[in-house]
Amino acid sequence: MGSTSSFVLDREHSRYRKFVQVQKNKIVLAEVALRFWCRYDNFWLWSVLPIYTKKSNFWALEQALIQLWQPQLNIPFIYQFFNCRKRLIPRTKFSSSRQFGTFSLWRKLRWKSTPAQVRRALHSPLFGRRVQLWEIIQDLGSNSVRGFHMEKRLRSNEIGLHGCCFIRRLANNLGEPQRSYAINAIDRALKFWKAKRVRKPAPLRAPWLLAEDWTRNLRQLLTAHVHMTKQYNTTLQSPSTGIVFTKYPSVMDSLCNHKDAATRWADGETPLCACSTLRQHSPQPQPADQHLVIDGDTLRFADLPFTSIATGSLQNKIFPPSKEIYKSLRSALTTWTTRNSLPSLRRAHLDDLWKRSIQSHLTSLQNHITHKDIIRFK
Amino acid sequence: MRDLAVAHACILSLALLTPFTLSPSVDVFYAFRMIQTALMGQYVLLHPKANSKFEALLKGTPLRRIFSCTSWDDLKVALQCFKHSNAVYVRFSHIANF
Repeated sequence: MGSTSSFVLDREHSRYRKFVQVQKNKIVLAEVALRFWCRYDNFWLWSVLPIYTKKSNFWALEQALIQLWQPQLNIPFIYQFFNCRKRLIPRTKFSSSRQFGTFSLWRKLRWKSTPAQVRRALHSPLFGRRVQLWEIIQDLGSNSVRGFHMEKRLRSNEIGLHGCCFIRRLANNLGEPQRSYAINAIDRALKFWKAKRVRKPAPLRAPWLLAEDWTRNLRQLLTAHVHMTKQYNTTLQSPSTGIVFTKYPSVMDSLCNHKDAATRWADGETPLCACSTLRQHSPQPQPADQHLVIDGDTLRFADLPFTSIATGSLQNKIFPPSKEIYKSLRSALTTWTTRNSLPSLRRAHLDDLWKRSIQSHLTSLQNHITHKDIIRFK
Repeated sequence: MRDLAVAHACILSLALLTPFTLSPSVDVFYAFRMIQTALMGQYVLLHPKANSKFEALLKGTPLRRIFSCTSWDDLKVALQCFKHSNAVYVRFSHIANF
């Protein structure tokens, strides 16, 4: 599906020129469908058919038609099966009951259509309203006098607060710079209506644990909270239930703190050489007047954690004390609820998950290096 | 079925020839693409196992008269819609399993 301010054949010719550029592997801004045709070399087996002509709202009509028919080669539907880098993404296999059972009959029934049904859909008030919504968004994203007048309409009772929230979600589909213009205008209108601020959905930045199914349990907690607080989601923005695990300090960070050493040196403190301490752990005799240059694997310690530090990778991570992990988890959840405009999470739910997970974490954490071990090693 | 086979051969020939129509004249390119659209549409509408959803879409769109012309003059008038500005278009193929 596409639209053009020029005529269809002119657009077709320009698409061909773009297609040639893509074929020659030039760095061009081209639609994903063109890359799909280029990959499978079937551009010429597709033909264009005008649906509407001489329409001033051609862009809004195109967007409404994409919403109605959901063509597979239009964004975002093309991403389901084609990625410019990964090429064709294999289809997820359905179970046999889903593929051949009553579900397939339902699918067939759902998609059954006749010319009369298509005509009725195109002339329906619902389709007309969709086109009007896209026209509003187009005007808001235009940075012109039409945008100014449309912004005034957003502050009237004609569109209202709920209309603004709905349009804002729809405006996310625009390309830049129209998207920024439209979203800024809608945000100004929302401020006028004293509405809740619409924020960009942010994932949870949580500490990582060794507990079994930690990611799954955490995601369940987030999803349950989102569902329980659905009635408070007045902005129509779907909160993110994604999880990003924060990094823990590595052995390298704790053992070789160059910044700390430099500060001490700047304060006039003479750096202490660790060679005399380490020399006693070396199995082979080393010259007393020289610094040690030996492999960590050759050092022998009575304590197991020390041997782990000496022989292991400097990139190994150290878990902080469980109190600190809990504190950072709580603050992460507070940040997540604030950023996603959600009510606070009940502490009882978090404590329940924490009790279950920390036991499992501590059981798995046997013989791991701790920050205390590294301080002693120093 | 024989007509369909001929139409299919014509579509494929046009698809093969279209790249060669680009450099000499834009009008030749335009003519090739218009004929290809008319042929592909007819193929979809006449095929007994055509995609019913797509068939309904072709017949239900406002500019469906391209596929229901009875004379060359009618077709000539109908194809004028390709030259109208401010257009919304759909790109389609006669191959059902794309």
